[in-house]
Amino acid sequence: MKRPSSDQAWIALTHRARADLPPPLDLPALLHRLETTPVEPAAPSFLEGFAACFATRRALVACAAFTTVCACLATWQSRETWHELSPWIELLYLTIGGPST
Amino acid sequence: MAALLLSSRTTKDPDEDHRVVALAQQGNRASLETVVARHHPEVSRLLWRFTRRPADHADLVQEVFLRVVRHLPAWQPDQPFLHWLRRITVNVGRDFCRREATRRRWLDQPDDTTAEAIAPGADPAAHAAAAEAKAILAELAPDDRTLLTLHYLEGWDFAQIGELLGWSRPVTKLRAFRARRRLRTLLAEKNLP
Repeated sequence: MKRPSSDQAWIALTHRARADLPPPLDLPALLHRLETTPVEPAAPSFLEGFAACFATRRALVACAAFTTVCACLATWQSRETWHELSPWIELLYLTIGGPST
Repeated sequence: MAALLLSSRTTKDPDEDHRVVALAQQGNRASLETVVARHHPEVSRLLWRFTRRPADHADLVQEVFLRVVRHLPAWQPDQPFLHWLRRITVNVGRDFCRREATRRRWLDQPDDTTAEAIAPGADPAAHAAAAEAKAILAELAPDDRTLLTLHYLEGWDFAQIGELLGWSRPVTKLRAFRARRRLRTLLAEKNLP
């Protein structure tokens, strides 16, 4: 049964390792480096900018209006197409024999 | 400098933190220095869990605070600064793990840690244990290594780590399960006494 003993040894090892301290930092050098870095407004990434377009409530209204317009256009277009095609369908129907009497 | 050292020893008060960070956000350099002085011990300790080389460690700490400075204008006052800082630190640690994994894969070189010096006042047993634990964890995939490093060497629970890394709870659970399974295999191979 090696696994439990390995687990226990690992736990003991990591508990001991937690007491390990980092080496001292050169704080003045770090501060000097930061001094030369300007604090500027972060430029938004593409995704942030894109998400921001849909962040307001107006976006929902705009989406609903756009969907309605698309639905109307599609309905009108299908009606037009039907009107254009129906004589041809009728002709084809008559060509193949028409209604059975 | 004395004031900075003193402020680094004071207890971290979230309200005080909030005030100082808000001032730093407006471009107040003294407040920024206070932020660094106050939080660098935690950042330093956290990043020391990932690396064994003091030079890498200093670079990582610097990288964290540079990211803080660059992204400070994006910090929202309604979010706790410490949480935000930890998130940046953990991401820097994870990026380091990824870079190191790539280096290991392509260069096929073992880590050069032989010249590593023990810091004065450090516990040699703890240092040796940390070196051994880090060497084992370094053989895991970067995300697994980040997860298990923070869990075992910092004592954080998986949910907290997942939140910092931006993972959902089920994803974190699954990753933790797989990472521990890989670690067990690795420990069995190493035959850890």
